[in-house]
Amino acid sequence: MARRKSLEAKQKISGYLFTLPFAIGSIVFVIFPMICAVIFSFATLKNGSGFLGNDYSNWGLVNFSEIWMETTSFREAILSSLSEMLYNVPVVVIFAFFMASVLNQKFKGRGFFRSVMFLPVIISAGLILSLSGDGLIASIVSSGDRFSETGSGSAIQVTDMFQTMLEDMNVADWMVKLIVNSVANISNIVSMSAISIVIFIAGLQSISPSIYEASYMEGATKWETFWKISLPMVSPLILLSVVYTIVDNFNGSNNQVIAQIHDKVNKVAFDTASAMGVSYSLIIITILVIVFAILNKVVFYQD
Amino acid sequence: MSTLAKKDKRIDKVRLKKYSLRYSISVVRLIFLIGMTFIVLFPLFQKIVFSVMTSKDLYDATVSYIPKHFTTDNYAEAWRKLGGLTVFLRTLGLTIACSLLNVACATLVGYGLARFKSKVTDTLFLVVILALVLPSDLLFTTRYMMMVSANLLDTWVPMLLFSATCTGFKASLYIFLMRQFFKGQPHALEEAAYVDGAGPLKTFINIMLPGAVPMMITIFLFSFVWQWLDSSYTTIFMRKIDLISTTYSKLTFDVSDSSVFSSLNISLTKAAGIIIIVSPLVLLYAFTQRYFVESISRSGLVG
Repeated sequence: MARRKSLEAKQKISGYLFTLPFAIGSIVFVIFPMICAVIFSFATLKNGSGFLGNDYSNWGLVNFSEIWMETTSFREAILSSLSEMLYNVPVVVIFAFFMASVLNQKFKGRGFFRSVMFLPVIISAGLILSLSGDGLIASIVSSGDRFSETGSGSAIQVTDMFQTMLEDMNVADWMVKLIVNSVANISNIVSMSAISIVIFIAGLQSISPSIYEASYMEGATKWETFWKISLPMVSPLILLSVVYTIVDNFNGSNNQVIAQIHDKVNKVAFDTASAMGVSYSLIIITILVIVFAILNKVVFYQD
Repeated sequence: MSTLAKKDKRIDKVRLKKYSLRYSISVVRLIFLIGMTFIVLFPLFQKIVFSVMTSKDLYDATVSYIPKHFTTDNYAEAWRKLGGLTVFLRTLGLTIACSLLNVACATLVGYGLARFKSKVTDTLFLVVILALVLPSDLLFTTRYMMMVSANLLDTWVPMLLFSATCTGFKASLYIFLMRQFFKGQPHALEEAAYVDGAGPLKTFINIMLPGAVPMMITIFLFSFVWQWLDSSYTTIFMRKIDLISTTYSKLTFDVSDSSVFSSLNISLTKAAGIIIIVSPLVLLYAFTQRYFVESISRSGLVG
């Protein structure tokens, strides 16, 4: 019995040793900065000789009232990034799931299409995106005589026709908007869903084929197996993908709020930046907790 | 005789329906996937085409994709603006160093978190999730002050420190992936090794590490891509050291001349610059993409 205990103690120690790099890093570079950020957000900072080279004065809610009450840009950025998230997350998750089910089927050239669909992970990271906004070439290319028949003009017409068609079909207004916007934003959606596609393909592959075989023996159709087997089995991954997409949306470098905070850090306005960061983190964490609590009830765990 | 023929015909009809359905599905799928491929690859293709054009070609209505005045000047100009070979090699060095450190740290910590359960490791995993969710700009202010007071600003040390402790850009995602991967691995091999008298470190290196290579390659790929393109950390901690992620902004403006022609040239240079920046990533992706899906699907993300 004594030997067994010593093994367990050994195991515990090696557990500490394995996680030591991150344990140190998390205390020095995550927990400590987090506490400091909260402290900074309640004071006015000036370059000086105090703690971490700052002088602190004006303790109170000055910074928070500045960003929330006195100026509007932060509020607006928060609202717009929230509404963007509300629209992006369902579209991205549904698209990624659909794409993963298509790419999980057996057909020729599957490897090629898979590697193409994961390519956006690489070619649409923040920096490339900020360089790609190439208004000038695009405007010359499409406004000149060269593409007047076949260029983007006709693409817009197609979308318009599509929209009138949907409206004639008496589809609800918000749905028309959603569909038309998704069509117009398709390249954005494709690039945002790359990681989720990987997650879903992994999930679909991990479902044992014997479950499907058994259901076909019982006479289930493909439609039924989709709703009763595939969907519940990957539902934990839907939760993961939703959380990832939310975090990605909120923390991406092209998010307006992040850009504002980064701007403040660059301008050495550390107190305002901290207040913004703290408020924003609280909002993100609240949303994630709510989403997690709601979805966790729907998710099906096999074991 | 006639009834048999009739039966044959009916079977033929059923078969025809079945096959035609199958073929029409695969045709629709092919069209859809080609469309998606187009959406992903077309912007890249466009950049490649523009990067070898002169501004004359842009105004020429008969030129759409094949330039009449082929030129490599854009590449030379972009290469010069990005800082030439020194900056390229420096960025490459920093990126490889950070990625290797990230992979090493994430593998160790991921294994520790997956296999050695204690209150400490549980808390650390919570911190991993927290670091994943928090916007990195919240932590920048304190980290910046720490680096200033330690006189480490504008050196490689901050980035290497962050990578070695896995607290850098998106680094907690790597720990998360590694932990999930090791959790999905069977315990039997390790137990056999323990029975044979191997210690935890030996077991980890000899038994677990070989199986984890695809996942390590995947994390290297992610880390390389994000480090290569990251401008949020480098613009704060390495402001005075030229890296591709800081010099790229020189591609977008030209002080000397502000006529339309020069801004057109800038757009062309930008296209060439993007190709230069992306090509190492695409090359790396081409070599590692087969490990990519394999590792994620074996990672047991479901658990």
